[in-house]
Amino acid sequence: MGAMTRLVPAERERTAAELVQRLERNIAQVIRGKPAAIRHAVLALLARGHLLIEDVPGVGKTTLARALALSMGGTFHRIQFTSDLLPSDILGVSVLEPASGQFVFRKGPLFANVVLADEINRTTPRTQSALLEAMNDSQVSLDGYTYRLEPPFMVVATQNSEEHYGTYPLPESQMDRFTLRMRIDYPSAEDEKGLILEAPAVTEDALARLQPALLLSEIISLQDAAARVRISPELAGYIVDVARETRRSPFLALGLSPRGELAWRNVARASALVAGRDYVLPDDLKQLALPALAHRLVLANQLDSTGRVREEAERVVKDVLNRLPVPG
Amino acid sequence: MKFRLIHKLTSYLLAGTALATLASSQTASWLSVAVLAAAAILSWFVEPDTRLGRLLDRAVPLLNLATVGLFALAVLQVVRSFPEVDLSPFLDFVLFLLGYKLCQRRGNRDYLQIYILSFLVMLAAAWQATSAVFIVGFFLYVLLATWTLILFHLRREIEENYLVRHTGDASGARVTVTRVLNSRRVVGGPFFLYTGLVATLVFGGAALVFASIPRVGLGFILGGVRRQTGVAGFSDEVKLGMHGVLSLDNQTVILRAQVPRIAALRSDDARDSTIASLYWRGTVYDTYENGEWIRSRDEKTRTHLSLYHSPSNDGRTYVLSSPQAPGPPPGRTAAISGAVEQDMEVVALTHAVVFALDQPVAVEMPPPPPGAFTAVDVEARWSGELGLRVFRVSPFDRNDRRTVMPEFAGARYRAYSRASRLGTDGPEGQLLPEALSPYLRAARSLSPRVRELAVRLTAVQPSAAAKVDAVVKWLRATHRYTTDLKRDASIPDPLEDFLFHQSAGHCEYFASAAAMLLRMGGVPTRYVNGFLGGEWNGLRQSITVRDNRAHSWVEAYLGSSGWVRVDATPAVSRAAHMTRLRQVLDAVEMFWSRWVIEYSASQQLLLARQLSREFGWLQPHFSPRGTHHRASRTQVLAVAAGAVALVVVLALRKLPRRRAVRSGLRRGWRGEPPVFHVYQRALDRLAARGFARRPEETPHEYLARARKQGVASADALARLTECYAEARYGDIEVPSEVVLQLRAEAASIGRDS
Repeated sequence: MGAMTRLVPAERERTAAELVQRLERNIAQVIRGKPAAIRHAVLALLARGHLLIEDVPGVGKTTLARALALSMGGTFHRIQFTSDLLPSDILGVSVLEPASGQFVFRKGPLFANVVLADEINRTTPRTQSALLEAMNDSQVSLDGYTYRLEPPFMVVATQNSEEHYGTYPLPESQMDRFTLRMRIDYPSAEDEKGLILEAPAVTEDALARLQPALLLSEIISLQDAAARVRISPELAGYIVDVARETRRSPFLALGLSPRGELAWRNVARASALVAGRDYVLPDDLKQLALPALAHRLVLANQLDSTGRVREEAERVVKDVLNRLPVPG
Repeated sequence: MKFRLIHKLTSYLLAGTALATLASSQTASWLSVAVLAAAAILSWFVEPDTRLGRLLDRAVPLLNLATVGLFALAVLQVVRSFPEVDLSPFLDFVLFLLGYKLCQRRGNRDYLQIYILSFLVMLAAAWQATSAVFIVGFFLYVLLATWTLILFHLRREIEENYLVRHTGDASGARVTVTRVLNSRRVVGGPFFLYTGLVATLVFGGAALVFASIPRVGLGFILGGVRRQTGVAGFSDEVKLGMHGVLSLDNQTVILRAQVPRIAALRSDDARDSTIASLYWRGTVYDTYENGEWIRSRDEKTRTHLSLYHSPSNDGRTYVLSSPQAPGPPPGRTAAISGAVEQDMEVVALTHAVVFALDQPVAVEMPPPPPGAFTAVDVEARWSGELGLRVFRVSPFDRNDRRTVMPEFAGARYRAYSRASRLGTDGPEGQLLPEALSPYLRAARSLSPRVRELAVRLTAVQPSAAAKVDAVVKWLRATHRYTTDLKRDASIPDPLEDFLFHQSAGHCEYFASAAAMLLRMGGVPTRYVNGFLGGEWNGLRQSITVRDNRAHSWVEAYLGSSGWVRVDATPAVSRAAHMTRLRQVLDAVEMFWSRWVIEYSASQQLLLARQLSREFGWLQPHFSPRGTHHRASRTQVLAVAAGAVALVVVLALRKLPRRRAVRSGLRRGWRGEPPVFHVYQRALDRLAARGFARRPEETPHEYLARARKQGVASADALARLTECYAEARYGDIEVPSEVVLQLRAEAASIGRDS
């Protein structure tokens, strides 16, 4: 890669940072006091990834997902995952057109730019798995036909981390397809007070009035820009080191997959882009390691509590990061 | 040291070296040099923003006026000195400008002018340098000039082109350079080492060029510009008491002589004792009056010279004969056979007189070497004294000897001498009283009691030789040697004071007294000034005569023995040995004068021949049938050595240039960007202060921790981290001026303010 001189301002990245800022401000109109959560959501979008929001009920998971979808324009579908939901309810179905006597594919709610998979762990693994191909390859194969999903395509799933009864934990392969898993957490006391003082319908109203901040084409160009962000060979080596370390870890049954490495790289690139850089810093990687990696790891001593699993996995990731030297 | 201070210091040292070299060459007057030195020392403390500086600022119109005035004066002086152009007023003007500029160091332009002026000063010193001290000064100058000019250039770059952008979208801004100039890390030891090596190479190259460029002797074409340098121990006339205290410290070398007969002596003791009794005869006087010896310039006393010209090599031999001697002058062969041969070299003399061992019988002037622009000749003077003349040789007519040079230092000649001996005293009738009358003239200033004394001492003696003996014995018995003279002003003639009251004096008094007493006793005498003894330099097998060996004695005419040397002064022991150091210095001086000052085309040829003999070059190796000659081993070795030297030179030149010009913007061994090095140095420094970056920490995490811990100059670290991260992870080249600034800033990181 040819050396660039820094005296030339990178027009592209600057614009990218501005676009992202516009997007985030738009979302922040409805989610107050949660810039980090918004940022993660945006990063997942720019990394052409999918987002899993995992938290206790009532902190705004759905609101965030909806706000993100609305802000980027494009089409938005919400699927409420229930235990009786079937794959065809998501993907669509071929029906016989009486007039022509031919089967015609009726697209399911998955065919949208942003799909909100609300409470994804409430449906059966069978239905959950229907998302696999769509999330990985942005396509749907049905009855011998392959249907492309129009970019940008993003699945935002929410799940309640504290609920256990009547839920089906996501299979590992499914988990691995989420680029980021994030939490929202309770708002700060100050923000909570502000929330209470406002009229009850305001948030809902604001969400309803939320206008797209960006064009779809802008989102795509942002994704393209993120894909072009440079990652140095040393940092690639660092990613590999971390992955190998997790695979070697005695606490884990399953370490980081190459897909996980790529996802980590992608969000780091998006993070660099958002910060106005055209190269990845080790800080990008380290800051995103927990949301990007922890949910992919399978603990050796699988604990029954989801929350404990999560904490344990994050601890392992932290431990790995604290042991490996950062290049440079 | 701070960069600014280093630059100032080297600049001052540069000017100081030029000044010191000038002082050592004695081109400028001591007053000018001293005034400038004082001004320079004062100017060190004159910074533009100090009180002194402001005071000086107010004086600028006055100083400018003085500059113009001095320039006009210098021009006037030079014009008036025409046609014997003396450029020294210009030199004084340059010295004035240098002092002025040193006091007015405002910006780069002033520094540049200081360099130019110091170069002019150096040029003036080179013009006149006759001592090997110059080479030391010159080397220092080259060394300092290399440093100074690089630092100057660097400083200008820093001051004039220092733009930096902290962020991509910010416009370039001029950076305040004070911090960089005050940084201690811009240049360091390695810079001086490597550039010093370069300077040494430059110096060696200059010497090579000097040796190999064909000599055209421009210096002598511009003859007359060189000013008289020498200071010899006596002046044209001798005034008793004037040189009351002989300067025993005056170490100025007057003459150098190579005397094969002395060099051939086996033992050092024999040589030392022989050298101690060598009388180098110079000026001769015949008339004493009122404490003064002068030359009567009586034609009767004029030295007879017979010229034997060798047409084959243009060499000239002069055979001396005194008009008083009976018989025809001896032929050349007769004159020089058995005589002591001396190869003389004049180093510093104020008076153009031929010096030779007592008594000179012939002087041989070497033919001017090819390419030489001067030739040496002698002229007959009086009483056996010979004048030395240096001509400019016209390139068109080698016999045109009309232009006499005022400069005769470096003149060489060969003298032949025969020691005078007291022989059997011949009958008085053989004397030629007419010719001897000037040597019998008694001073009118002496009172009758001197004559009474003379008569008392000499009347009873049967012969002239016995009279001489009696007078010398009496003088030595009743008077003692001293250089601490006392004078009774009531007695008009100092000689009389010496004879009857002080009873103590130095050689001039003894010689004068002997001459006068003998004259009054009827013995013709003349007064001789010269040098006694010398120092043996074993390194180059020659005798060095210094100014402090000046001596006076008397020559008495003893009939058939002719003129005989009479030294009435009591023996004063003087060290005849040079210390080892002085021998080396003296040898260096001799080498310098022979191979640098008088380096001529003929010596160049000589050198080339020597080299060719040494290495086997230039030897006619052509075989008649055109077969190739096989290279000798020395040739191969020489070529190989030359190639190796060339490679070393090139490598050395390349290395310092990169380091020096980029001022330590070092790339790592793997070609890492310079900023890596700067960052690593900062980390090392912080680690040394107990604040090390942990391996798992990213640069920015480390920076955050540093900020939290309150590390000094965390902002500088932040900028450095930013640039480092760009270079490290973004492969973005950081401009070298930015690196320079970072480097300067990095010096303060972690340092407690």
